[in-house]
Amino acid sequence: MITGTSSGIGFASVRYLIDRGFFVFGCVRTAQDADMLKKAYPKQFQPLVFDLIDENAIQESAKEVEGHLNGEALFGLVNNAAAVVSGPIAHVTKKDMLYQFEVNTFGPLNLCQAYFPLLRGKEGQQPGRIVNVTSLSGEIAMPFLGPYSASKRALMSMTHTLRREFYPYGVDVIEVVPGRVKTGIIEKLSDASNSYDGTDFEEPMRKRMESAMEMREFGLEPEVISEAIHTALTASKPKYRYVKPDLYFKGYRLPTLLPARMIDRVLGKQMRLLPSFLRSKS
Amino acid sequence: MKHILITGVSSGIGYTAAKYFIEKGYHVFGSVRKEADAQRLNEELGESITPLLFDVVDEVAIAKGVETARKHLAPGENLSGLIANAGIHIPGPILHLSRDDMRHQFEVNVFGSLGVIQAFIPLLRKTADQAAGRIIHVGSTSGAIPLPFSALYAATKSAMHSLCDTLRRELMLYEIDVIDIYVGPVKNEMVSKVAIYKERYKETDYYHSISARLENALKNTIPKGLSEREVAAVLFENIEKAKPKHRFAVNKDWFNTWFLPNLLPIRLLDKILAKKLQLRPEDFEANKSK
Repeated sequence: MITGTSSGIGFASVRYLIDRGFFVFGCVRTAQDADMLKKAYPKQFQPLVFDLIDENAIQESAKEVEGHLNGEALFGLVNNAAAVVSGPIAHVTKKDMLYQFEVNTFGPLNLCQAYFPLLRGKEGQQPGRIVNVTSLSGEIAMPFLGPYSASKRALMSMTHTLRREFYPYGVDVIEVVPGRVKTGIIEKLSDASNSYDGTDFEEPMRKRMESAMEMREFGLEPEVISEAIHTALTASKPKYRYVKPDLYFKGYRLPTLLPARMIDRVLGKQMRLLPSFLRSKS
Repeated sequence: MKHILITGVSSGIGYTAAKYFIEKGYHVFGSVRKEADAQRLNEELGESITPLLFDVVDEVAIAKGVETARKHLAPGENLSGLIANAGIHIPGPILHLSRDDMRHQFEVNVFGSLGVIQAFIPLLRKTADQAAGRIIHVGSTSGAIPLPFSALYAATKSAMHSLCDTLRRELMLYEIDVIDIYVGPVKNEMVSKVAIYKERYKETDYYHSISARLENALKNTIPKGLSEREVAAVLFENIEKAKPKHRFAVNKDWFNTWFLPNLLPIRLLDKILAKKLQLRPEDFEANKSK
């Protein structure tokens, strides 16, 4: 079972797993996306149409999957679907914060609860695994992605508690941490459409969006993450997390190694967030 | 005169910190949810405290608190600090938590803390006479080492960890610094507040594990914990000192509650926790017959 299969990592993972002999249940939000996927994979795919903010629909989907499984245990649950709320953190509204966490944090946790009985299986069956797709942003918080980074950081924390609490049942919980993936995040930046014109962050925010647009074709192929998901699901002794940065040294090792205050200054300069920029404006 | 805002001052670390800052000559704005607590604070701490009556989830009440504080400040004065301390802990095994539990936990600890910070940014900004104020988030060891049955609480502290990074980077524009402190176990009544939740899970597989965790906390962790006054002293020091660290841990039993769990490979830590908290498959088997 994979969430968010209409595009990006989810879409690529459907094909990757079907090619390796899996039957995939895929969560999408529209009937259109469901038809598109069903047409592409008539035999090995079952679409489920629901939204992660709808807890009842999550429960219903688990019942539907149970019907299809016919007594078999579910091999894996991949929490991949995510929304991206961006904006200067001083001005992000509570409504946008709540939406961000409903989709990226509460939704996946609800799915883990709802699909747990299917993953656990019955006596004698091999229990399935959960893979939570988080983000390097949860590790390295970039300006203007505050809500998104925080929601992913929360999911990282929950991956640990889930793994520790599901331990007695043999249901393993593994994290896949992608860096920048091609066309991934940019397509979703419209999720929150608030304008921050007129605030002190107007210019830095616009600059940030422009550079994000320029970089839209830059990043990992989604298949790289699908491969990590596949490994997490199938390795006999999986690691507790698989980190897949787009640039190993510059995008991961260096920022996690350097003193945070130094990175603050570098980012501050790049993104026009130093106090001198405010002074020059006034 | 220096001023500071501390959220959640009716009891615990918040109350002790309010007293501590007053001793050091500060005027404290302290948020409380109940009128009765506001009166009590006025009686106990006198002129040096201005209770602000707001729940961190209530944006309208927070805005009123901002106005009260603004009126109290003389021209050229600002807040030297904002201590985001108010928080709740909704414990329980993940399988038995509801979506409303998730929302409630995050509304207070994350959206609420952020809401207060956002609202008070204008009062933290530097003035002609005073440097910009500082924000301190009272975090928890759980933010770095999430323990079973505290999934939601730990996740909120992790989310705040990330938000502190974002705030620190974005509020550089206003020279407002942001400090995140992982506070270790504290000798206070928090655990007994949590203990009442235990009976709720009597019929679940996790009952014995929850008991083990509580017992361990009461017998080992809490008695070896920090006093509230020690935490208050750290908060004061970091509002005052010239070059504070952006993030650090405060712990009494530093080796066992911080150093070791952060050093061990995660899968090994999982096994140790499982043994300690009776979370191994064989424990569940054995506890079934109890």
